[in-house]
Amino acid sequence: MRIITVDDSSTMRRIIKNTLKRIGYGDEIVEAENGKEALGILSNNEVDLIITDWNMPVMDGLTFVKKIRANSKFDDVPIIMVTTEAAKEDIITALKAGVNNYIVKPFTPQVLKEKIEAVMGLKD
Amino acid sequence: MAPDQSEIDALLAEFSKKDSNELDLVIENYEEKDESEIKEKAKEYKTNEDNSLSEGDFESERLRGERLPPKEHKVIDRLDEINKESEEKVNKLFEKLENISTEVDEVENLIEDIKPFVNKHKEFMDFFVEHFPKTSIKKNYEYFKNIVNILNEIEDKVNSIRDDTFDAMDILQFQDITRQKIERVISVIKALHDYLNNWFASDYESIPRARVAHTIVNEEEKEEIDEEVESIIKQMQRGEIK
Repeated sequence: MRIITVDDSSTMRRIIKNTLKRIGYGDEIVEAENGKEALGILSNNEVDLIITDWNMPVMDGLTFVKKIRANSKFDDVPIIMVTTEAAKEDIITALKAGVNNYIVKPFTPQVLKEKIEAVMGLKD
Repeated sequence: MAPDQSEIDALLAEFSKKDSNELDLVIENYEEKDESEIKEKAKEYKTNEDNSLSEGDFESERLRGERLPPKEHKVIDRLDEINKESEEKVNKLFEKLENISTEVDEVENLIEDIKPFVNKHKEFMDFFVEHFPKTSIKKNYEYFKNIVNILNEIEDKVNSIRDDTFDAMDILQFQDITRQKIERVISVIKALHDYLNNWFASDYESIPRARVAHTIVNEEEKEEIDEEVESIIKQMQRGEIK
């Protein structure tokens, strides 16, 4: 499975990448520091799953998700948002923007695994 | 060396001997000093002080009429540096944990490599001891069984080290959460920065920044929040939230 992980924190990207490998989804992982960089990567590459942070400089996760969802090319690509934002209105905003699942930091490998399984199930 | 009491007493005695007229003369001379000379001295002092300023300091001083705190005292810049430093250190720590994890994998592979031979040998010895219980091999058999137990114990320890290493990696998420908490503090300081521009002058505007986190959950609330997230997702999926 090809996964892109978008987070401005190099530590978080590393943790997500490592966790994905541990839970069996480490085949091919691409990294981006922000939404803009991710859009650049996605314009030339196909992915099966997007894992994105919300609060990022240059282009935040919400804008990135909206841009992705505005492009029919990515209709079938599930998006999981991994963020510190835990307010109900933020979660609803993200889901309305097109996020398929939502994880509040800090997360456990088990939670990430369950959420990936959930969104990939939705995809089918 | 500090003077002893007798020397101090002698000095005091000498001073008290001075004619009061002599003291008046000193005061008078001071008052008569040319005012222009004093101004010249002050100008010289100011020039020396200005020469010691960097271009940036000089410009700031010219604009604001006062000396700004040096760069290392600028709060936002310092906090940004702390964030950057802690991220770098945590990444180094993560690298070390990844190395430990790789080495643990190698140890496990070595154990896996020798295990079939050890098990084969044990089967052979089991058979031998069962059929020839009175031979001297029995003593070696007990020793060998001990080696097998130690090997199993090593395997358990290796798994335990791996679990602990993974747990430590997961805990490192705190760095990102702490960073966002600091970013929130920075945003408060930014508000003050606009108001007290002189004190908090920095390169804040030139650095692209993430939106500041509104909610950062405490560990105690985490379980409750996760349940709420699940509940909201389900409600959205059922179309209960429009």
